[in-house]
Amino acid sequence: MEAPEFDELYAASFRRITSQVYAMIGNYDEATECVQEAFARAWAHRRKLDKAQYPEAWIRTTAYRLAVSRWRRTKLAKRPVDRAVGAPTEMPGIDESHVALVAALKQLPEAQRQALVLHHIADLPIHQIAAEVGVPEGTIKARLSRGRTALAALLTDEAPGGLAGGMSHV
Amino acid sequence: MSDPIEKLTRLGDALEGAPMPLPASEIRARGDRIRRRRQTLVAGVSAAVVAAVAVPTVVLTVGGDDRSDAPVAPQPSISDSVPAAPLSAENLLTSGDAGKVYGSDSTWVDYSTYRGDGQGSYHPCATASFASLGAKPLYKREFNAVPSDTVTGWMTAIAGEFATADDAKAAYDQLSDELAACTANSDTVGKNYQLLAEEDVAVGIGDEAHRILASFVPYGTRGFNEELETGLVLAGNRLEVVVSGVGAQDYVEQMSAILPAAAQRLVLGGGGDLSTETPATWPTTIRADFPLTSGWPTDDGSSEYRLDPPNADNESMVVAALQACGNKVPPPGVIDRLTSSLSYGSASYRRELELFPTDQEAITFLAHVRAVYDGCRTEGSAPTITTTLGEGGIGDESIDVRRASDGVGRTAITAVRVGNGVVLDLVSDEGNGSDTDALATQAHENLADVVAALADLEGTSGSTDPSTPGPDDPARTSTVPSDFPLDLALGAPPADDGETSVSGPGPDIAGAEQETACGTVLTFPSSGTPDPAHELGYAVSGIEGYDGRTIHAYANAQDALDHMAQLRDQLQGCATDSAGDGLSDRIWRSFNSDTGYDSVTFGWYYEATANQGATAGNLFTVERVGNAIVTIQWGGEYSADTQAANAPDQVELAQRIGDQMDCDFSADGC
Repeated sequence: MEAPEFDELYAASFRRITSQVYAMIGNYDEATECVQEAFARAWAHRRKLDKAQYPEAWIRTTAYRLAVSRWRRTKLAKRPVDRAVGAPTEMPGIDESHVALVAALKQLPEAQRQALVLHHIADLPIHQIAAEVGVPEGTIKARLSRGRTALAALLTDEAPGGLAGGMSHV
Repeated sequence: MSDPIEKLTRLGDALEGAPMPLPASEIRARGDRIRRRRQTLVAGVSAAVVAAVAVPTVVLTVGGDDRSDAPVAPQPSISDSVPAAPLSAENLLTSGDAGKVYGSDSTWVDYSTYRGDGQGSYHPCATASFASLGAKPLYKREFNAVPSDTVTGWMTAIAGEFATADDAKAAYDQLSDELAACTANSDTVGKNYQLLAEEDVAVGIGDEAHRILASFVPYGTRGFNEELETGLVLAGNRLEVVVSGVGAQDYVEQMSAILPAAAQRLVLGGGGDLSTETPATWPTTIRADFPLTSGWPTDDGSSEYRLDPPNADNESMVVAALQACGNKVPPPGVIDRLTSSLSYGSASYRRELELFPTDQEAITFLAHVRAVYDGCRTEGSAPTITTTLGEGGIGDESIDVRRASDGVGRTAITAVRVGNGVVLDLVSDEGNGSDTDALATQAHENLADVVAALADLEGTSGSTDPSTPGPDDPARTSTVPSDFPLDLALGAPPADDGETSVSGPGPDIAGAEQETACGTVLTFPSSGTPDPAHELGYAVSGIEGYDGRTIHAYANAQDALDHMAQLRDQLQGCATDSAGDGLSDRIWRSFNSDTGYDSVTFGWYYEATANQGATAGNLFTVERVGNAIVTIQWGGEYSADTQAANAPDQVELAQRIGDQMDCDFSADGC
């Protein structure tokens, strides 16, 4: 992959992948950083990327793994608000219902959340999700079914107040 | 309430207007730096030396996709899917690739690797040897689950090369059917064989991969069920079969994660038979003056100072000290060893340098160390010892073990591998268990010279490139470009607005301030020794504090190395001092400084006393890349906690400035 092709991929898919990773992990700043890092690694491994059937899937998977790895280290969570250098990434216009939705997603098991995001936000067919996640299609179907049910229950249970504090209009 | 799925779908659209934080060109530049650093012999440790400049490097590329790259350590990289070089043991799945045993905390640890089929069958359902399929050469590796007290598991990987890609494909198809149907005789398979699942697996590289899951009761066992999971990977004229048996009640599902790693390794382009190439490559002896005790406290004449000087006859540290929860690290099969220990007050220090016949044995040894501590996260009661295990960034690979008592007592164990050499470092004392991180940080700093010496040992014994510049050779430049981005910021750069004063970057700008520690002026670039011909300065002064930076380019890398070594010596042992300002004592401490370059991060704060009102301190990161050193200072009226909390940000900033320095001051540029 040459630079112009990479730049085109970056411009076309950065926001899309960031939104998907944000939905998966629930932290916009982290999602942005991890997607940037995933693109950098994609360029570092560009010959591997050439062989990947779905470069966007490679980057998304890498970003998601980076994010999960960060979670587990919990290193960044302890940062204070009075950071001497750096500023948090500016959050784009996301309304409160979306924030509540992401908060509800965070309560789902990781596998269900991932399946929901890949299917309903990334718009991937089930067979492609199965390939990306590395499990049988039947497993993905089950995760989607359980995830939808759990998500609906969470959003219902929390309104009004709590998670759905800004959702009274929906 | 609207449909949650509809909301989900809309969420993707909501972020369409999100800003693009960095242009693509910066992302690519970072990717280039990642790739270059990955291929550097010593990378990623605060106190270690960047090998591309400081030490000769081993020239053993086994692939690589850019001829202009610097010489690299023997590490795998991706090559074409149909490799030209012969298959070798390097193409086999490793314990690092295999990771954890499914559903348990145990780890796959390889215990034997050899050429050929070996004596036992490679798969319970195989009807013939792998060689009989036409594979030549072929290699086999066997793994055990460690620790084995909570899980029963075994795994075998076998890889072979065929005359043509068509031959390999025929074997792949044959085995896919044969191993799933499992028509082997009952003496091998046992009984109750049941095929549970069969599917193709996406591996991203190579031609295709397949996974077979079955359940059976192995012959000779007493009815205990095993999940038999098989993976096949085809890449050009190469075929690898990985098979595991795990005692489990659940469907085992680990091959989907293992096969992509197996595929990547299978297509490696380099190689050759390890047994024939390694004797000419790896060092076999440790010189007597190896600085094994570097960084340890020096003898102050105290009766509490008891040192066992480095000697091959000292009791092995592996036997004496590396165990947890009753599990011991197996004694390594080393070809040379040097061991030392020091008891000083309540602190105990141990170090050992080991040389293995090949890097593969060293890798396996580290896997054993990792497995022992990974399998013992908590131990004992009153006190209870909690273990954290991390992967460090030192050398080719490293392990960072921290063991903290819930009372008094803490231990930091570091294992660093470079080539076929492993340095083991253990330090323990009666400090508070909640402060084990500080002990580990200090231990890593103290290891700097030892790791550099090991890198030197590995480099000088291998085939080195005579064209690689040495540290004494003149640098490409000893001036700092006027447009060097010394004012880099993690966020929005500060503005000169009346309340905040911004100066520079420029050659005449007073950047970092001169500092004294325990009566000695620290030897980092600062406004105390201005040298406009070779420096740039930058300063931001405001109500939030002072951010000063000075970068200095030296005549060659050795000069810069010497300054860093002197700085570390000056900081060594300085825990408290007085600035002579009538205020309380200053408490000195160091922080993790994982910039990817040769760096140290340290600072001081005023001790809290009844007479000391405002808190204040200074935090410094001093970083060397090639022949240049930059000092980053952050001073202000902040607390000790705030200083510690912000140290990682300063390290991240130093890393980014270091990436820029890499272009101007490393031997190879960027």
